[in-house]
Amino acid sequence: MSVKESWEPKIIGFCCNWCSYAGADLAGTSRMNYPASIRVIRVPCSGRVNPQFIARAFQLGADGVLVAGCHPGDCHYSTGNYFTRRRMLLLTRFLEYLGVDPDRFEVRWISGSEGQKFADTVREFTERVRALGPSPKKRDAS
Amino acid sequence: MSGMNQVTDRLRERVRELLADGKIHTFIGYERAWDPYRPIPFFATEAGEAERLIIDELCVPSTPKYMLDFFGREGVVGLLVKGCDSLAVERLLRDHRVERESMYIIGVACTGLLDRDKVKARALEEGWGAVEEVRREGDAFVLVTAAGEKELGPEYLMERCRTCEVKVPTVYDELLGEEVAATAEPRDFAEVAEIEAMTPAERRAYWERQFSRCIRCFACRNVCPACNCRICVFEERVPRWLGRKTDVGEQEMFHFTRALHVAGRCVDCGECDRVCPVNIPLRKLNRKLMKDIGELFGIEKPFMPAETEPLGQFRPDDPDEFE
Amino acid sequence: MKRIGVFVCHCGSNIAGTVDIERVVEAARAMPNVVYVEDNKYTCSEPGQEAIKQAIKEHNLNRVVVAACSPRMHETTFRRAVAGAGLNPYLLEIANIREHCSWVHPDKEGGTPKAIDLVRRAVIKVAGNVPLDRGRIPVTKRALVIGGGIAGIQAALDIADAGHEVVLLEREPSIGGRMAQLDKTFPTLDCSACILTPKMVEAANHPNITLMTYCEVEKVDGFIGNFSVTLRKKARYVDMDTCTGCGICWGKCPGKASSEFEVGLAKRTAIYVPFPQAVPNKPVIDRENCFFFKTGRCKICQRFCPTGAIDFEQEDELVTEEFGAIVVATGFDIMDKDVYGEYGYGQYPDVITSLEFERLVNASGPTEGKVKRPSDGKIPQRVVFIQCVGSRDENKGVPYCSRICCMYTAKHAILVHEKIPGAQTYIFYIDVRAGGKNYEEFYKRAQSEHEAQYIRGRVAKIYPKGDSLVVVGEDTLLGEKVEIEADLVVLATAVLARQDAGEVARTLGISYDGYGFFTEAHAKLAPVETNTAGIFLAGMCQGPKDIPDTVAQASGAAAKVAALLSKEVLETEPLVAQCDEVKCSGCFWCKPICPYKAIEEKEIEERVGRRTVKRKVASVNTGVCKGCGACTVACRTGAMNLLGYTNDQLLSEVEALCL
Repeated sequence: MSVKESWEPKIIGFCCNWCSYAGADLAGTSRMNYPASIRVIRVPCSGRVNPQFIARAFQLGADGVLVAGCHPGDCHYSTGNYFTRRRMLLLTRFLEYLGVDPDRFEVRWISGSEGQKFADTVREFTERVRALGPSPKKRDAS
Repeated sequence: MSGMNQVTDRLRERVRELLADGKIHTFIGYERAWDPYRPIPFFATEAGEAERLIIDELCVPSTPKYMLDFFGREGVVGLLVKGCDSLAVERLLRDHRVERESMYIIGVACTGLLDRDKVKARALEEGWGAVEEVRREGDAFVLVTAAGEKELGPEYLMERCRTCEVKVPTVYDELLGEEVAATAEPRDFAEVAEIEAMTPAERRAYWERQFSRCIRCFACRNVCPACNCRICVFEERVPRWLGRKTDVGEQEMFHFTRALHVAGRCVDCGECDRVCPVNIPLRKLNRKLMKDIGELFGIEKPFMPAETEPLGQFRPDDPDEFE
Repeated sequence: MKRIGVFVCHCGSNIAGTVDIERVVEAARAMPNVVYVEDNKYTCSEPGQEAIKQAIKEHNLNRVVVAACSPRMHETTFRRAVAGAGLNPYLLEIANIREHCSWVHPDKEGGTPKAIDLVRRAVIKVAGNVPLDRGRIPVTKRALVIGGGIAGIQAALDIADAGHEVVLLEREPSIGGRMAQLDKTFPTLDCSACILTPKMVEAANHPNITLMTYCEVEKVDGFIGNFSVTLRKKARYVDMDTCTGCGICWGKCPGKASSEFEVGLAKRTAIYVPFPQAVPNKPVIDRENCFFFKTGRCKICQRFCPTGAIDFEQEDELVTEEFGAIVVATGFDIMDKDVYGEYGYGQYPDVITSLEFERLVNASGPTEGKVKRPSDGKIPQRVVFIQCVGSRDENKGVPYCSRICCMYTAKHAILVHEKIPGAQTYIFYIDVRAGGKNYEEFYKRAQSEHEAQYIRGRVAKIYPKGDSLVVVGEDTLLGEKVEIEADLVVLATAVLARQDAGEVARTLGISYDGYGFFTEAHAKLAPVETNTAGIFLAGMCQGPKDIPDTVAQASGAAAKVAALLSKEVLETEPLVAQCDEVKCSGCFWCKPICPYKAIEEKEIEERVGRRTVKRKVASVNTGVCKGCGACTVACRTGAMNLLGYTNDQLLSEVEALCL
């Protein structure tokens, strides 16, 4: 087994500027602790998240991908996340169908005041991914 | 049930007229060429060429996408469409890639096409020689071959035709032959359920095996009526949506992307599957998305082109399984 | 050639305490295109910002990355700093190594590699940033207020007082709206006309307000700051300049029609003003009921008019005017009483709606303020009020609460008690909602001082018995059936959106909900704006509300309009969507996604081979686009891109973070 023994899960997170990114900021200002597994990419709206970005993350060996947006109905751009919801419903099933372990892909609605929820999400997601081990892409590459 | 060849004479007559009158400058139909079991698309541009047109249950390839070649050109193109072709036409119309006024559509009712690979294999095995006519007699197909008349049962029907509800084209300027009752087996997406029942590891292994054969010939994309962008995302170098490496990761990325781009717009014509030179079961990808779209968003016929496609709309009470 | 400078902030010990700054600095030096790296104690401070400006000049930097706190904190600060050094402010990226890193990962071993990853992401992203300029669109300093009820009047007055020109448009012959139909208003029992008419007159006389009555909106083109509105001035058949409002014409007119203002309880003439205090107090001729228009004979009004103001040749006129902002204040309707078979399908003359009651109790109404039964004109002794007729009814009515009925019914009960000595009122209710200032006290007074008897329960049936009506209901608190012989029954029917609300919305390009109420941009944070930039809402057309809230909302909308019109030019945010016309297929699947209708169809000409081809492509109205990027995902080709978050940038960010 030639993957680094010291493997730590790496999660790519897409966070919308108005809700989930703000929620993540709040987790920071509240000094909540969570594992250093997540790398956040800021987007204006979760509706900006193209499934191809998610696929690219998995293709490049991300152990997990998180898409976090505003609660449906609360989108800063009024309807963006309704489209995200439809797309993600389809995507979760499709990724699973293609053999991606469903525990590696997470979609959550996190508002700007839900710092705790952001921290909890990262914590729980990291543990689930850790249990699954490194991404199959990494395993194949080594 | 009568076969499509019944309207051959009328078709030739009409095309002759349309070309002679100058109403159309080209007619896209089929002709029997070097492989008589595999009629090919034929572009008639003069009235005299109408004689070469044929129409029968071996005329499988979808032709409406050729309209993209005529985009922006003056004049009207004539088109022969079966049911599945008419959905392709609707797809191109709704995507604004072709204008209705630039087409003159002759529709023909179809009760199902022959699986050409199966037929050809049997013909070779039993030494039938060339085929010159295909008839329908009841449930069966009768092929007039060099070795005499050969009967083929309904098991030679193309898989996709079993569940086809569009026996009569949905769009046409004139319809040849009689209308046909729409009887179809229910769409049960059994082949999708089969894969859904596997474990994640089994699924991953399955798709890796399938995708590893992909040679990125893009035949599936080229034949698909829903893949009608002027500049395909896979031709773009900036941004680099898809790498050029031929490894399974890139093949997967290609099929993943194409399936999602087509999701909600696929008309279930099955051409992608048919044209793949390495037999990747592409319909299993598109139909998975189609099945989910139908179930999740309450769309009874997710393959029928509609005013707004499913991913371009939403309902505030859409299902939500995310916390 | 990209020359990126990276500035890593200690933020005192906020970052330096849990992130190894030296390692981050060292790692940054090795990142692609980075030519300069510096660390600072407090980068956002004056000296910190100066250091950035110095470095830009000294090292010829053309891109800047600041690794510090959240961009939601200081992105604007650093944009300004960078601009101060002469660099385009959009050539800056922030790496959030505080809120997202140092503050949540207490150990340096965990936090430092992550901080390095985050800096790398920013470095790779900023390489794809391009200089962007804020767009500028001109603003026409005129506002259009559609609807001349109290909401429209208030909004018009406020905008006019702010110094801007306003056109106040009303489709009825007079402004005033529903409030003109009311008698007294809760909770003060002010006479409605007394508080409304001064405002009506003020609006008519205000130098900045142009009153356009008997007019409708035909078409709306354009966008924020630049609306082009076609208005239909309906033919009045009366010359507004020569007419003096003397009233001789409507005194002589033989034509009769049901008065809309009196809700069908009285008749009016064919040439008429809707009510005595109408503004403008000049009549219109109702073609459908005018003898001359119907038979070719009459013209009595013209004969007797002392100024020759009657002009039967007039025609509707279409005019197009320019506006910078629009306020929609089109009001509401109430449900008809013929909906409920249990209450007689509107066939019992003594079962009336609350609006009909308002007219009966109004001193200038059809019965001169005496509450008389419509059937025989007798004064009722027992009046039953039924709340929630149609409201809160998912089966036959609407599921929502109409908000005003509990209060106006209490008011009605008080008025009956005051006007009819010895009369008894009964009110069937489900809940009493009296949430405003002094509302609860008012409702309590109706019971304690005016003997209104509240019965908690629904009314199952009303049937006639002789001259009276028997109201059969339930008293759920006592658990008993109740039967009351009533002389008059008043139904508090539901507030409904106007029947043509959908049409109005489509003309304007704004959204409306399933009930026909216009949709606000954000239920809590933007209740007077719509998703169509430059169009605002006021009053009942946005949802049921009482007069205080209507007036407050109207002033709110006016404030937004005044802010908009006070600008010479509107600066538009440059982080907007952009369509690559070469790549665009013209499929327009991006269009339905946009919540702001910012995507338009544009015809272009291209040379293909030796032919010129005309085709349509998508085009983004940057004045209206808010930069959400949802359209970009609908675009398969990637022709639609979002400046500042391009497809290429996002893909390279993913790549940078996955390494």
